[in-house]
Amino acid sequence: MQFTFDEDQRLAAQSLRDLLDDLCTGADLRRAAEACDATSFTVACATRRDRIKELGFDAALVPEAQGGLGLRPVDLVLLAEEAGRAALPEPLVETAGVALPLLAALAAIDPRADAVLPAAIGGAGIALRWPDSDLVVGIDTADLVLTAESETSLALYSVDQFEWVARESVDPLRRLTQLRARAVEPITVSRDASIPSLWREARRCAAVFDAAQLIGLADRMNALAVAYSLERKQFGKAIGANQAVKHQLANVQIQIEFARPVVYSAAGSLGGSLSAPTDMDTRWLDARVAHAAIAARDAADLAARTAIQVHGAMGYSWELDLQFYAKRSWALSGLHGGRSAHFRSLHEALMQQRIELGPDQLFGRSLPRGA
Amino acid sequence: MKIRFTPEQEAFRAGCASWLQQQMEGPFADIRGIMSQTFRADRRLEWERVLGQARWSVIGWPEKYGGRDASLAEQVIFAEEYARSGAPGRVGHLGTELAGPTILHFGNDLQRERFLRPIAKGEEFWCQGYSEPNAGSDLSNVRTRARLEHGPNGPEWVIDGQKIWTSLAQFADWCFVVCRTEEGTKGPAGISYLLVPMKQKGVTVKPIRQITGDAEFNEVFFDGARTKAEYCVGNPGEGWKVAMGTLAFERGVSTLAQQMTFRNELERIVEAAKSNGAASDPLIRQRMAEAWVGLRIMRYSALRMLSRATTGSLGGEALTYKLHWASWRKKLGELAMDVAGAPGELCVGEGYELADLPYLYLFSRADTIYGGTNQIQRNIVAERALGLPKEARGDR
Repeated sequence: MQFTFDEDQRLAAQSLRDLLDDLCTGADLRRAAEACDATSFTVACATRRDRIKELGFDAALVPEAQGGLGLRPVDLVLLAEEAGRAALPEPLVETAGVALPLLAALAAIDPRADAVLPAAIGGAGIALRWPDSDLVVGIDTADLVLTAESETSLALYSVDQFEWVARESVDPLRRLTQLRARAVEPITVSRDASIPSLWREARRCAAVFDAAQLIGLADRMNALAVAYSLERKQFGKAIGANQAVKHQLANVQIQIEFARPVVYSAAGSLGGSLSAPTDMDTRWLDARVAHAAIAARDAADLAARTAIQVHGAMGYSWELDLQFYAKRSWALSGLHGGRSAHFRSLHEALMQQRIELGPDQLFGRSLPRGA
Repeated sequence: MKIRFTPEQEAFRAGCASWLQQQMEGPFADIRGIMSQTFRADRRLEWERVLGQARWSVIGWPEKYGGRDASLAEQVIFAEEYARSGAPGRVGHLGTELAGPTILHFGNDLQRERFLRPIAKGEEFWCQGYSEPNAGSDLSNVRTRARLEHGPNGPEWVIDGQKIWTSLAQFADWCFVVCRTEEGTKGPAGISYLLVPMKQKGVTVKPIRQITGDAEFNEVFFDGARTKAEYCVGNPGEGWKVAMGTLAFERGVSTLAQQMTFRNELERIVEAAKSNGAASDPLIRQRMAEAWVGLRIMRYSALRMLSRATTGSLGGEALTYKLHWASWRKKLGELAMDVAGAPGELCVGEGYELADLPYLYLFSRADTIYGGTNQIQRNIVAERALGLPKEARGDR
C-alpha cells in the first residue's frame, strides 16, 4: 500500500510552486486582469509563460518514445494543484494534462499528426475544443487545435483555419474564445476505432486535473481567509477569535483534507498514454473520477463561500484578490456538465453497473476486469 | 386564524397593481426588470420622481409629508405589487426606507419640514454613512468625528473622517452620518447622527467596484465637510439609539415584501431551467422545489409578523428574518449558476456585463454580509431574543 507521493513528484510540485509564488502573485493576476486587450494580456504574462515552459512540464505525459517525459497522470496531479492555488492564467494543466497527451495518442496512429508532434513538444501551443462546446481556452497562445464534431473522430487543425471571437468570462483571467467559423482543411482527421476511448480517457484526465486545481484553489482561498481573520479586528479582537468564524474556517479545511485523497487516488488510477489502466475495471475508474470531481467542487465551493463571508464586505469587492480564486473555482466547477453530470456518472456506476461496495472493495484495484 | 387580506385591502392591491402595470408597460418599459442598482441611473431617478408625483413613493408616511397614511398591510401589499410589476429596485430607498422614517420618528419639526417632502417627491436622494474601515460589524467603533464651530453661517458641524461601503453615494444629495462628537469617548457614548449635504467641497465620493463589476457602493471622505448645527437628529452625543432605530427600519417592514422580488428571481431560474433542459436534472428539480418551500416560509412568516404588528413596528421574531432570507437567497444564487451551466461563465456585453443568472449569483454572495452578517444576526437572535450572555469583547 503506497498512498503518498515520492520525492520527484514533490520536488516537481515545489519547483512550480516557487515559480508561481514569485511570478503569479495577486498583483500579477490583477495586472493581467486589467490588461485591456489580448496583446497587453500576453505581455503581462510573457515572463511567467516562458519560465513555465522552461520547467518542461508540457510534455510530461507524452511517452518517452515520442519525445516526452513518459510520466503518468499521478505525476502531474500536484502540479495541477499548484496551478489552481495560483489561479494560473496560462493553460498549463489543459496542455500538459490533456491536449498534448491527446495529440501524442493521435500521433501514434496517424503519421500526419506524428509529423507535427515534435513542434508541439517543442513549444507550439495546442488548444483543445471539446466536441460538445464551442468555447476554448488558450487560443491566444495556440498554433494547433485538436477537435471533433463527435467523439468518434479526432481532427487536428492549424489555429488559423478557424475564426475565433474573444469572449469575456466571469473569471477575468480565463482567456476564452468562441468558435465562429469552422475550418475546411484539417491537417488530419482520424476515425480510428480507438478514438472514442481516447476521448473518454481525455475527459477523465480533464476531470481529475480540474479537481486537483479546485483543491489548490480551495486551499488558497482558505489560507487567505485565515490570514484575514487574524488581521481584521472588530470588537477589540481578531475576528478569527470568534467561534462563529474559526469553526467555519476549520470546516473548510476538513472538507479540503477529505477531498485530497479522493482526487489523488483518482489520479493514481489513470493510465499513462491516455489508455485506461489494464489492472482496473473502468466502472470503478469512472466512479473514482466522478467522486474526485464532486469532492473537489464541494470543497472549493465551501471555501469560496466561507472566504467571502469571512472577508465581509471586502469579500465581494473587485479590489480583493480573492475574487480571482473564487471566480476560477466557479468557472471550473461548471465544466463538463458540472456537479450534476458527475453525480449521474456515480449513480450509473452504483445502480446500473452495480460495482461492488464494502471496505474490502474500497480501492477496487484487485478486481479482475469485468468482474 | 385568518391568513388572507380583507376585500378593502384587495381593492387597494388592484389599484396599485394597475397603476404599476401601466407604468412598466408604458413609459418605463425600458427599465423594467433591471437587476443592477446602478444601470440606467438617469431613468431610475426619473422613475423615483414619477413615483413621488403620484404619491406612491412613501405610502406609509403621513399625508402632509407626501404619503398616504397607509397601514402596514397596505405598505406590504404595495411593495409586493411593486415587485410583481417588474419595477426596478428603488434608487431612492435609502431616503424612503431609512432616512425618512428615522427623521419622522426621531427628528424634530424643523427637520421633518426640511427633509421629508423632498424625499417623498424623489427630489433629494440619500445615502447611509455608517460603516468605516475599522467599524463594520463593530459599528460603535466609528472614528469619523465632528466638532461644532461658530462661523459666519452660524453654528455648524465640521466633519472629518471616512465612510466605506456607502451604497448609491454617487447619486446622493444627503448622507446621514454616524460620527463621534465628543472627544475621548468610546463605544456608543458620544456618537451623534448628523444629516450632511453631499454636494460640497469637503465631501469626496470614490466608487468601489464589486465582484459583479458594478459599482453600487463607495468610499466617502469627509474633509472639513459642513452641515448646520440643527441637522443633528436626537441630542448631540445620543445618536447611537437613533442609529439603531434606523437599523430597525432596515431590518423591519421594508424587508417583508422582498419575497415578491425573490419570487420573480425564482421564476426566472425556473424558466431558464425549462428552456435549457436543466429542469430534467433531478438534483436541480429538488433544489428548485426547496427554493419554493423556503419562499413560502418567508411569505407566511411575513404575514404572521404583519398580523402581530399593531403599532407599525415588528415583534422579536422579526430579528430572525434577515438571517432567513439572506441564507435562502444566497442558495438561490447558487441554483441560478448551476441552472445556467457552463455558458453561465460568459459575459453578455462589453465591460463585464453579466447575464441575469450569473449576476444574481455574484450579487447574492453579499446577502449574508451587508446589513449585518449572518454571524452578527445569530448573535442578535441569541442575545436579544433568547437573552443569552453577550459575546465577550476584546477591549472593554
